[in-house]
Amino acid sequence: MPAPRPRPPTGTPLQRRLPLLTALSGAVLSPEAVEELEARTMKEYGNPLGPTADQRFAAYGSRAAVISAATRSSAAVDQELGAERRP
Amino acid sequence: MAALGMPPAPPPAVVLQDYDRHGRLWSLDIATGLLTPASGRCHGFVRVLAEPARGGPPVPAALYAEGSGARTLWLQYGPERWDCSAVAVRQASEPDGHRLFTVFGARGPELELRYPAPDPGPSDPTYDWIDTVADDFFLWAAERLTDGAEDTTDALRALTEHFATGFLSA
Repeated sequence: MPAPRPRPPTGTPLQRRLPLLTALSGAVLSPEAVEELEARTMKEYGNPLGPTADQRFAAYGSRAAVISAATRSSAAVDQELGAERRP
Repeated sequence: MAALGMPPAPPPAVVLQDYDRHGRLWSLDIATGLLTPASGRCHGFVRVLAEPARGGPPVPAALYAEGSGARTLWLQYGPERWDCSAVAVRQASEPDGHRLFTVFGARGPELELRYPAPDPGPSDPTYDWIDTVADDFFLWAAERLTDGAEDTTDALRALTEHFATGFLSA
C-alpha cells in the first residue's frame, strides 16, 4: 500500500505557524488578529511573516547589528507573556 | 565639473526607501525636502510624515548618505539637515507614552520632535525588538547613531559606506 501523499499546507503562512507560536507563548490569536498582523507585515515588508535578514541589513548596515537586534525582546510583550526581559 | 580644489556640489536629490512601506521609493530633494516617487538604488531611509494641520506636502525625516564615495551620514527633517558626525541625537519615552526625539548641536537642541508612541497593533507574541525599531523611525535613527552595543564609530562608518554604496529595495 503506497504511503499517503502529504497534504498541501492550507491557510496563510502565519496561520500555518500559529500552532507553534501558541505552543511557545501560550498566546491565542483570533483569525481576525492574524489577518491584521499579516496585512501589517505585508505593508511593511511585502511578506506576511515579517522582514528578511537582507531587509534588516539594508536598515542596519551590518550583519552584527542585525544579529544584536534580533536577540533583543520587546518589553511590552515580555510583560504580557510573563517572560524574562532580554534587553 | 567641479572647479579644481573645490568639493563637488552635493547632488540635488537622493533616492531613499520608505521606512514604513515595502517597495516604495522616494527621491528627496535635499534643498527643499520635497519628495517624489523614484526608482533605483537607495541611499538610506525616509519616514514620510503627513502634515494635515498645515495642509502642506508631507514632511520627510530621513537618514542617508549622498551617494557613491560619500563619507557623511545626514539626518534630514523637512528642508533642514545635519551632519551626523557633528550632532548628538536622543530618543526617549515620556511617562504619558509619547516619544521625544532631539538633535543636539554645539549650542543645544536644534530639533525636538514629540510624537505618540507607535501603535503595535494586535497583541502579537512574536513582536520583538526588531519590530519595535521597525515601527519607530526615530528610535531606529537614534539607535543607529548612538548604538551602545557596538563601537559607535565603526557602526557609523559601516552604515555610511552601506548607504553610500546603495542598496536595492528587497
